[in-house]
Amino acid sequence: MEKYKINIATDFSEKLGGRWVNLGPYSGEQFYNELLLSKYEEAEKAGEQLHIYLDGASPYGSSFLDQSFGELVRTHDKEKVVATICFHTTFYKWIENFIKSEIWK
Amino acid sequence: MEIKGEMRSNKFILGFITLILALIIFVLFKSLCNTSWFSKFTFTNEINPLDIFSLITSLGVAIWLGYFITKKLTEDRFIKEFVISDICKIEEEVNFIERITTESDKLELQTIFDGLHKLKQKIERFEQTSRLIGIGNKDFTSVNKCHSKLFLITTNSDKDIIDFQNKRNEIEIVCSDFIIELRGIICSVNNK
Repeated sequence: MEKYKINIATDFSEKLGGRWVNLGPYSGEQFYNELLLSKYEEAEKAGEQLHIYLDGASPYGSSFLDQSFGELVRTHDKEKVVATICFHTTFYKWIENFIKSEIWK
Repeated sequence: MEIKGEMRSNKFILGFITLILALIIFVLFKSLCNTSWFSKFTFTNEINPLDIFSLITSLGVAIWLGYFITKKLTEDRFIKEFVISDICKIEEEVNFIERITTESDKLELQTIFDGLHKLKQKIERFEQTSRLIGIGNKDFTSVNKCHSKLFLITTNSDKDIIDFQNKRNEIEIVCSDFIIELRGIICSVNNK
């Protein structure tokens, strides 16, 4: 049983926005502030992985990904972030690859 | 079914051409026999069983080789055309994204994302098909990088409605690079 997980579609929103919270709902900034940061810190403190489920939500804009997952590596140790976060997806493997190769490079 | 019919007709055409060529060579040979230079050669009319066996064997090998080579060439051509048509479909998707982003001032992020997702699915399908068929061990990194660049430039927006007015030139350049990369793959597949 995964103790720390975020299903973006059910825990946050099925319809995602842009980058900034003041320019539209369900933005990357909102996701980072309300959910991702706290869950990540809990998981990292406990030495566990944070499981992120990508399916069911869209659209994943590059700005949403940068302001959420990108912000995480800008404010925390990148290696620890890479080791802690585990993505789960059937349909958006390319989004996972984009985060790892472009956002977290 | 259409392909099998085409292959059968190719065989008939090849066989018919071979027969006509054999007849022409025979007629030429007969007429050459009557010239003064050629009449110095002597021919024996005796046939022994070994000659017949040799003739039949040579004929069998020639027919089998002809059939085998024709079959191989036809199969190779079919596979190449199949793969090339996949690449053309990817190019169509890139053209679609270029068109909608350069002809509209603003678009919803969802519309662009759906187009890019569809494009990515086609690229992955093509990659896996190429590996299955074994049509070269081409590294698809450059195609995937083109897709990432296109994704980055078309979905980098502060809000969920994207303004493309200032991005048109950049999008056109990225799409051109993408299409040139795809055409390079078409050439390498065709030249194999």
